[in-house]
Amino acid sequence: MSAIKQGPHYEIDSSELAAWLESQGVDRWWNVDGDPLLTGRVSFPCPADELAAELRAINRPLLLHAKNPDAKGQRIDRTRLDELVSRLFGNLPANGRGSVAWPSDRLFYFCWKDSPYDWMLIEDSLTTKAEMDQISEAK
Amino acid sequence: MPRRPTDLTRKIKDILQHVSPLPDEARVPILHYRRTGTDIWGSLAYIEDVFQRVNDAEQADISLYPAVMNRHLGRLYGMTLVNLVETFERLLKELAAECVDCLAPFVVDDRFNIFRIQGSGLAAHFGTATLGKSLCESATWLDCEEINERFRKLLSDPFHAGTFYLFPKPPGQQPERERWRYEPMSIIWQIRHTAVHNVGVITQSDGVKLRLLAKEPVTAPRVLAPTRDDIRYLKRFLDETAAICNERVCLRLAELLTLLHTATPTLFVPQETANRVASCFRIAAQVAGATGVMPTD
Repeated sequence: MSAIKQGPHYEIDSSELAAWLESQGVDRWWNVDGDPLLTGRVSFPCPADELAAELRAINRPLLLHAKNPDAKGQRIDRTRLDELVSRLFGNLPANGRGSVAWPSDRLFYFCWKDSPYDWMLIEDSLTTKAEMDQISEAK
Repeated sequence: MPRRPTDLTRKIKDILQHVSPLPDEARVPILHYRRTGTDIWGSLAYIEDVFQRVNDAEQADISLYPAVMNRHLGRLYGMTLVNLVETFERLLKELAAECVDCLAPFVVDDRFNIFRIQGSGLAAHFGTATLGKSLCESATWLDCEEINERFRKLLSDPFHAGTFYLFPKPPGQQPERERWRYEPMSIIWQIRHTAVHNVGVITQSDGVKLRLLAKEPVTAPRVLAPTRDDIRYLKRFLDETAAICNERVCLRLAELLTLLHTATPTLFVPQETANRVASCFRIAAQVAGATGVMPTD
């Protein structure tokens, strides 16, 4: 059922993804779309520190969709994630007439190695901003 | 050229054929709740991203007027609000149904009389649904007092009135630490009523009810225009409340099953029942000394 398993992909431990998420900022919020395991455990959207804790608790290998056709399940660590991140709509031209100025949210396509479900991890910059604004107002 | 006639009755009936299977999480109320809530939020985030992308496009001729975008987003937030509240309502039904199914073989008192169901309604469930679903699915669960009454009776000690309040009401109902939820939950039910039955218009009568519930001025008539932050906080409140309801119902059910087992030790095998409770609620509760084993995800 998983399209990721059929196509080019890398393997990464969920604890490595956890470390990468924390390195992006523990106050950054994220969504998960389509993973019964994570959505059953965490209320989304969710700040990076909470999601990272859950990923460490699960502690299983993930498969990460890659555009590189040479990606055939090689194990990677957190240092490769910056180059493998995609952007929601980031590569699509606006109405066919050029690229957009606004950098859209980052995302990854994942699949747990032992699961048939593909899912997305998507940055939620609107919630991140709203939460930061709220903290600023409280000060 | 005249428009071709369309069989609209057929088209309406066709809606019933456009369905998809339930997600795996539907077997467990709290997982079903979280899955749907996450899906709703995900849809919203997706549309917001598309809107933002169009709005920020370099070409002025394809960008949206902010007022137009905000109007459409406001409509979407209103629909999201209703969806989130109804997801929570479904959780309450499913939790109650699990309790009915866990208790039905072991109780003979009048606890199930709290559910009003007509014979034809029961017949419609016969053969496929569980007793819990047949008793709990057809009713609405949109009023804190009514919900309290159902869970209180459902989870009472045998032949007693019961003291379990899912949404304990100030000043006397227990637990005290949960009393604060009664007010926001009641306001949420009323907002949902306004959104569903009056397309978001706070009528004069809605305004009076909301004023009494919120204990502060509410202007009417007005149209509800929820913001993204409103939806975010609503979801956070409902998510937290869902987790607490799931835990409290689970622990009270386990306590009641323990009581029933103490009175009649041959009634059931504690480990089997504890495992069933753990599976239904995803909490490793204890039943008659046996700790439920959680299924692996």
